[in-house]
Amino acid sequence: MGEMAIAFNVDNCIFCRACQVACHVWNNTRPQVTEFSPTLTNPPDLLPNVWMVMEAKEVVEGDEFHWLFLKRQCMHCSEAPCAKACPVNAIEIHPEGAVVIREDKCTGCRFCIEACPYDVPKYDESSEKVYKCTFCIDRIQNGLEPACVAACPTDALVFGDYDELVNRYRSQGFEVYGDSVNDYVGRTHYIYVTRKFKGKLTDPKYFGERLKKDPRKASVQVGTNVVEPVGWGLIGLTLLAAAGHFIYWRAKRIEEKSESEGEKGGE
Amino acid sequence: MQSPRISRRTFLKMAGLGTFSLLFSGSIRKVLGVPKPKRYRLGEIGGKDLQLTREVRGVCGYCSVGCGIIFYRAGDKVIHLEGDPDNPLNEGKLCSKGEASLELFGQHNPRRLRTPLIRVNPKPPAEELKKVKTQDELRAILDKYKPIWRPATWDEAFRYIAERMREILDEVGWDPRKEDGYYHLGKKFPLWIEAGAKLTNEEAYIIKKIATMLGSYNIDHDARRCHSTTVAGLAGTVGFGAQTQSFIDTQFISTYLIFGGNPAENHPVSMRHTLKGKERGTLKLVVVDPRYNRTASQADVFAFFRPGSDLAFLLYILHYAFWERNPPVDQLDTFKEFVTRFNVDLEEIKEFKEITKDYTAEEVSRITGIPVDKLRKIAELYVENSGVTTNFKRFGSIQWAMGQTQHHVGTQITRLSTLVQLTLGNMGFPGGGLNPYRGHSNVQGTTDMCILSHILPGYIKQPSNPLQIRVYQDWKNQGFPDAWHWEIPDWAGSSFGPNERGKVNSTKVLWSWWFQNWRRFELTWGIFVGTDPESDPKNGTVISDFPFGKGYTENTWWQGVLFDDVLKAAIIMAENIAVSDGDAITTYIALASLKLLVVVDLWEAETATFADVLLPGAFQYEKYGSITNSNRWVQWQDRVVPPAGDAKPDLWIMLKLWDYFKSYGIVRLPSQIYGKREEKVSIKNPNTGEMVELYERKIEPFMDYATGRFADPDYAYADPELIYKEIDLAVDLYNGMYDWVDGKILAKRRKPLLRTESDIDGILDREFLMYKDWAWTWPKNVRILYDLWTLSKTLGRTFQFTFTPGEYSVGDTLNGKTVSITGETGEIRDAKSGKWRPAFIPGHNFVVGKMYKRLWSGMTDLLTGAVTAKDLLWYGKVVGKFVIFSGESHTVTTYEDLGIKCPLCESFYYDEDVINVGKANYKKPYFKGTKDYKGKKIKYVGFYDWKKVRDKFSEEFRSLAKSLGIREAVKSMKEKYGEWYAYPNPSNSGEILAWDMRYPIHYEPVESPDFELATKYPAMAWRRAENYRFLEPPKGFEHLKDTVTMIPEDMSPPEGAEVVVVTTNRMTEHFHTGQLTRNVPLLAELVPEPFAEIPKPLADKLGIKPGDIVEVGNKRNVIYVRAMVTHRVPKLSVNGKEVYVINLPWHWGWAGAHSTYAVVNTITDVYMDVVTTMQETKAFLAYVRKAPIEKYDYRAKEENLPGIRP
Ligand code: SF4
Ligand code: SF4
Ligand code: SF4
Repeated sequence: MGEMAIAFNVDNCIFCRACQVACHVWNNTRPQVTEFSPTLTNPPDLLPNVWMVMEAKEVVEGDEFHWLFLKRQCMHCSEAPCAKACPVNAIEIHPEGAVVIREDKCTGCRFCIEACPYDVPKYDESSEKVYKCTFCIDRIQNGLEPACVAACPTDALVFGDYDELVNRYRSQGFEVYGDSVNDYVGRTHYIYVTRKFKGKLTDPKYFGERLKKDPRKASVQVGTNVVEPVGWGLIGLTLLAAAGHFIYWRAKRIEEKSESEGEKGGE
Repeated sequence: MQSPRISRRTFLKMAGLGTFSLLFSGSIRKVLGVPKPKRYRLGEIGGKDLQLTREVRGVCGYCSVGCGIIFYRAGDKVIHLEGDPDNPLNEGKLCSKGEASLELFGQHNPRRLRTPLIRVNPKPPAEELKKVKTQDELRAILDKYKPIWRPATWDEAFRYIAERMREILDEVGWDPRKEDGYYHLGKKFPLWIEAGAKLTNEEAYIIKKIATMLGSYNIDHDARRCHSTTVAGLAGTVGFGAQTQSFIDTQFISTYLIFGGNPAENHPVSMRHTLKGKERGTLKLVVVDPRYNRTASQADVFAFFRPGSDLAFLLYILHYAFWERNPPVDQLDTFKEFVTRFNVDLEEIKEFKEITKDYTAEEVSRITGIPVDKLRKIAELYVENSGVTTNFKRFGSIQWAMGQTQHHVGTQITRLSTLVQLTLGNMGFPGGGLNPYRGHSNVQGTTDMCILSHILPGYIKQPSNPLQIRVYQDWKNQGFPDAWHWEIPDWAGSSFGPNERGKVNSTKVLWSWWFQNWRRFELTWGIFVGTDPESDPKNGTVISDFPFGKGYTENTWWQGVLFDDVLKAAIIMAENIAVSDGDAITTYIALASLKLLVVVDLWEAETATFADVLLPGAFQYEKYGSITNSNRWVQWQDRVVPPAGDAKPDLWIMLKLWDYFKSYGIVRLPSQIYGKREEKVSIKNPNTGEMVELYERKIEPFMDYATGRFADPDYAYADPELIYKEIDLAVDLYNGMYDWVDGKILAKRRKPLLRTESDIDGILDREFLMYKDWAWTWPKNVRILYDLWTLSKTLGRTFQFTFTPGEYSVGDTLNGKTVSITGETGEIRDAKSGKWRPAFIPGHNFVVGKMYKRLWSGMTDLLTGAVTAKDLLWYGKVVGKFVIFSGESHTVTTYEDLGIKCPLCESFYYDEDVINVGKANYKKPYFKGTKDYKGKKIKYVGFYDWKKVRDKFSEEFRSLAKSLGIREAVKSMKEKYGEWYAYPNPSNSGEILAWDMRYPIHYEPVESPDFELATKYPAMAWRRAENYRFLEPPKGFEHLKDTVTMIPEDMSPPEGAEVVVVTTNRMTEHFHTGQLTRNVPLLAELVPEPFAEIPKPLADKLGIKPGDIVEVGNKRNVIYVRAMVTHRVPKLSVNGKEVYVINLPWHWGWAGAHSTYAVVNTITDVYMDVVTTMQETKAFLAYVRKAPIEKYDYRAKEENLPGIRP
């Protein structure tokens, strides 16, 4: 399997939310006890136990009314700033494009959260780890489509070879978000396509709050996970000062953590 | 046979393949230098060990799409599920509900009932409930009388029930009538049975069988409330009350008018197919709805319209076609050709065309609130892409669900949809037809099995008088003939309609079909219906184990408890009427008045609040059985795991109940009381009148399904496969679903392949993706109803089939002939050859399934006879005797002698003659003839006569309403003229003309937002006695009168409130009364709390912010829910007035997780459809205003949420 993509076709989604449930079912994540949502989007944000959320939004423009549906989860960035930020190399980038947090390695330092421009990784207080969408790595490595894609009744979600998908949608007149976003995230392995809302994918009135034109975070890179240091070392250095206190606190936590683990190991 | 697409492998097989290919895929990314990323086991992240699982196939138990699911079981635990990639209905996909199904199993769901429970504390008293006017008052009472249960054994529970039933029967003195024959009156039985649409076909069939054998027609189910008006409207017009197309077939539609349904939310996976057409650019999606819903988000054209103005909208489409279009459609040759094919009388069309004349775009815009331009645009799009305007190359289709059905004129609305399709040539083609999407996973099946108070399984008439039994006995004596060979005896007089000797007419067609089915029931149930002696049908004693008449319906049963004092006990299985009944507080009063209420459910649901006994049932996945999806595909469910604890499948519970009832003397069959133990089966020599005896049949009521074939004890006692076979034999509609030659259950057939062109229906199968070897469809595996022309008209070809002489059990019209087939025929196993042969020739026409010819007419009993039902069903033993008459003599011969290879296959065949007799009912008067009233004659008349007095009628009504109010005006006019919608004939003072409802016209809902419309197009409800009781309630129920608020002026809303039109709906994430979804945390996450959708401008006007609490009320009740402020519900201009529409999803109640006493159906109404008693819950009045948060009583009671992660 080469580099893969999941395409979300904005035009075909009927907001059935099979994807959101399928994600829970496959990953065995605890359902969230939520409250009334004035937009139907629920829960309102990603959570350590909710790795994807379907968002609904009403847009009125003159006489026109649109009810927009957008799938939100980790974008699986090729530059994976989260992975670069991870001090213990707990975030792995797979050849298929998946950016996956190793639960066994995550120390809960939350650098990735700081680095992610799409506000994706979420910290769980009880396990003291960070969680997010895995691109269903344990399915795709075993020849299955991701769970959300497999569920989606309208083929609003499609899984396939990266270039092939991008080319196919483009040649069919779709506008594509993701194949070259910016230098910070690179390209995303979740791509968003539309024919109906051309020019509006990155418009904040429509999808732009999520599909940012220039996603970027003032953040750090302390990890060694990614060996493609062009430019990154510099950015890392300049940011170091600004985030000094923060890093100190995190670093301390990592130590404490490993000590306590050591104790356990010694039992 | 060959496949056009790769037959997809199931989950684990695919997983294996994937692993293999991955070994060879080189990593080319920039990950060099870092440790190789981890390799995961399948399911590792979720902690699922999938390598050790067993696959069990089933069908989704929520909606009616029928999506296939594969369950993965490790030991007795279900650990995962995936959509079945082979199932053509869902191609591996599922919606959120299907995906969340896992949490229904007891192992994952602590709320499931696990043991029988008997109540130990008092139930809420009816007198207290009568006073309830608000949610708070309701809560106070229900909290006070919250049930306290003690666990019981099954034996204890059954004895408790049977003892009390016995007492009740003794009290009312339950015995058959004996005056003019031995029979029960089906509406008098004191036990009310409701058995829901979640049951399997086998369960549905058995419960109706049990009720009938108890002597009761007081049995009904949720179909009454959802699509009873569809069944009545469609069956009454074109023959069958079901979807004519399939979900898959929707992709071939040109203009899909979604009018009264919301498939993206309520049948999500169906949209997969519909959107394929849109994707190809061949399908335009038009959504006309009171809400901009999820389906609307996909629409090419969308229009808001006012709930309750459905008839006007559809009438405008025809107005456009007949009066605006040039040339009008009735001038087109294609139109004439098409209506001729349906044998429609052109005079009828003229009369109807006249009706549509008044429904101009301007008038309809005033009624519906749809702007004139938009109306015209929609009508044009629809009409110009229809069969008659495109020479049958493109078709329009109409989709609906509760939007069309839940009105007091629901039957008129669905009938009008049918007439639109008949007029425009959109019926009986792939891509063109009627698509009423059913609700429950098996509501089509439970409707077909007729858990209904007015028909026997397969839509068969219940007898209503002894004469019918006499004629039936005479029919038996004539040798069980088809309509072509049957003569109605002269002594039957005219009560059977025109008795034309030697001629086939619709009376004979229908009655011989009914008789044929009665005979099937006699043989398979081991009962007797006929006369003693059999040889003297005219004078013998009538004995009928079928009760007579029709029972209460799910919407009138409370009147049977409260007003008529007939119903004293109830068994409610798999239904939760405390949340789903319209005007639900009245339901609570009735439930509380019962002496015995038994509830069988998965949970302690709202209805259990009123129960004496609560029994734990099983969900579809915990059962074996067949289920019929909305497009009539009968599929098989295998038991994934048994229900947790001591819970039992409903089939087991029913049959046990029967056993206990029997031993407590509750089963009192007329034949047994009379002492009829044997039937002499004889056939009369038509030439001499001599009776030739074929055999003697033992009368032994049959309910023994304990074959022990299943290892599982529940099913060892209640063999569902045996019942499946019985249904095949007993219910003509389902005959053919068992393959008696190869001994196969065709519902289990799972071949995701298309046929080759030389196979029966192979061309159609390939062209239109019918998947005819996946499962089985009624009738006779026909996938598109009424398809007589697709091969010839749409594809320009035919299919030839040769009936080799003497090889098939068909008559002269087919024997030895090569026939040209022009449509879809379906197929039959031939009795003689044992081969498959095309069934309906030259294609399936409307009502054709009901009409049949029988090669063995006059020669032998049906199913070639049975000595006992047990012999027939357990061992497949038939008598197999035939008598052949020649002149005065006869010979008796056997099926072996005749070379019949499949004695349990009937000799029915369906040829061209059959097509020529059937007629679509363009015109259908629901009231006929005359009746006397205070010395005058009330005469039911058609449109031409009615038109003479129509305006006078509404003028008088309006002027009375102005002075007396609408309610008193109705009473006054009904009193004066003896009928509603009646007015004196100006040219004959002794006569009152009453509209006979032969064609649909617009009627306002009972609760209309506008006085002028309400009096110009008065509601029809008051024609029906049960509705009239709201205007004149019996003593003790005077409060009902005050609940009737017909116009906003009747409402007296509190300060700061606005009177609005309310509609109700269901959502993707929830199912009906919410028990199956509120108790499923995965779904509750998505939509936890009850709410109302409120138009933005109204919210602004009333100061309501998103998430605020709002009070929604009327004179029935007052409830409190959250406000969802949205642009998706409209402010409309109706008759020049501002009208706001709000919407209430109705999935909440006080039981289970995510509960509230804000039951939406406590403010809806139960004004009933004039034909079927459907309640009008889709359009009514209420007021809305902001309310303080303290009023809101929603609770989230989540516990033990599953999942291994945070
Ligand atoms: S979206 Fe955020 S968490 Fe996902 S790969 Fe990109 S940076 Fe990492
Ligand atoms: S499953 Fe598909 S259609 Fe349903 S909400 Fe998710 S992306 Fe949209
Ligand atoms: S609820 Fe309906 S559409 Fe959804 S998975 Fe089940 S059968 Fe399919």
